[in-house]
Amino acid sequence: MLKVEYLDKTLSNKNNTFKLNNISFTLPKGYICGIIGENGSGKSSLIKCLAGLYRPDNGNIFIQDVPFYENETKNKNMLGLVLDNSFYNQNFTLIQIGRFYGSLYNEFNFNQYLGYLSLFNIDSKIKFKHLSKGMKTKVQISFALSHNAKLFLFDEPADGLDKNSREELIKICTGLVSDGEKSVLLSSHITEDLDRIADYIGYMQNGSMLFFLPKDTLCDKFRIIKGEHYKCQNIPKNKIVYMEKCKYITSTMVKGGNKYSSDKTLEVYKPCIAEFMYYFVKGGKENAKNIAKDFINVNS
Amino acid sequence: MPKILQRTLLMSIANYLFSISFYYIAFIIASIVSSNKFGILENRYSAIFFLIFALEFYYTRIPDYIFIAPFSRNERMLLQKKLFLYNLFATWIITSVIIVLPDLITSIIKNNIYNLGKSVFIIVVIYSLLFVAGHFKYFNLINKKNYKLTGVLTYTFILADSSVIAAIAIDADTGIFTYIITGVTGISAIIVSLYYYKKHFKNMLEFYSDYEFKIQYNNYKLFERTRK
Repeated sequence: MLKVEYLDKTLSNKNNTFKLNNISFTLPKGYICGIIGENGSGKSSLIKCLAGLYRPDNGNIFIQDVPFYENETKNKNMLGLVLDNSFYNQNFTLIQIGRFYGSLYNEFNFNQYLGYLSLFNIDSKIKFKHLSKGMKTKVQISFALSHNAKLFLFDEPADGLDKNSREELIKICTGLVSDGEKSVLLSSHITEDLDRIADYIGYMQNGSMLFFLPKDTLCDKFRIIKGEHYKCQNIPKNKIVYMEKCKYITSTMVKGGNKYSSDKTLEVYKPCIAEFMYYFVKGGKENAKNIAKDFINVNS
Repeated sequence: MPKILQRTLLMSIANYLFSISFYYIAFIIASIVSSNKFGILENRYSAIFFLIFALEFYYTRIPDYIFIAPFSRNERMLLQKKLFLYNLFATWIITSVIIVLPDLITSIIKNNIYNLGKSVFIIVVIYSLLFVAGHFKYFNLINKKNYKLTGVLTYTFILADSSVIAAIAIDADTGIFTYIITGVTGISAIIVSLYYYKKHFKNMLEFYSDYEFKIQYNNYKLFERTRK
């Protein structure tokens, strides 16, 4: 569905320069991909490149094997977007947004759009500028779902959403890919949600994608070991991603399976994405880069 | 006209009308404060000054949503070009009806050929300013991208200055000097505009139909482009 090859993009202003560096990955049809990473790692910039807002300096983007800029109109018709800032006219009511912007798409379904708005409990007669941040995101989601898009690019869709709406979003995302024809790529800091729905995980750091792997494969590569500190110290140093010493218990994320914990009193389990992210980030950027290069990408 | 441009154009016209209302405020103030020639000069100068402000709307950008909507770059450029042309047309019509036409009608009613001539010169000066200041604004923006346009900018600036001098000369009623400077200004403005149009208009459309340029325009940040 989505293939990115060696994508480079430099964005700079007076004070600093940021570069998306050599990003390559492939997201097959019918899968959900979560892009994770710290603030400023390049998640939003990557999504803007994929949405055609930033034109890459080098590299190619393919949507259903068609180069993005070869048929931009057709490819943009296939994109359902939720971005950090909405591009709608702030003075439009939600009905006007549906009618006006919907007319730009080949297969926009106005009734479906109204249906999603009512699912999110949003009054369609209200003006866009009067909505809260979370509600604006919901409007964007409703619109993105209503023009028969094939690839959904969601930039922090859960940002500002309440718990119930996040649950709705999770349901919607899983429902979208259920026919095997659509794919979703979303960036999020709420890793608990990604744990539940993501099939693939991409990790961004300093503008580079350190890895892009199926979630289960990624989590299988690591273990979290918890126990008394002196016992955890027996773990070989070169296998430790990050060790956190607390008052009564020490927890460590290690590369590989159970083999470093011969002591049965230690608790060993597979990390979820939230835990993986926590330890991976805590271990430091250089450490994360080395682990991705020498361990995650080598063994996948 | 494409539907997506209609609202933007209407907003632009409304803003332009709002700006042009300053012309009449300046006119009223000048009439009250002073009845001598200096007052009249001040009036003309203020009018031109506010017209330059109104040029903010001369180069109106396409609506934000077009950047993510299913349009290719060429289609965006075409829309931007149409918006420029519609906006230019609307600006000139409004300027003619609100500012120039009253002068012309007064001259015709009073059967004062000399005043009619003055009005024509004012039209030349104001339109020259519209052209020049519009280009100046745009080139000042893209010059931040390290374009080597210093010579062109200097010439544009001189032209803008001479337009103002022409406007003052018209009101000061300095005879043949008025005709000469107004003629030179008008012809130069047309030449410069044609030169810009031929050499840089496509480039300008590219920038305006580009989201990155929009970000730069809004935030006054300099995005380096490394496009091949």
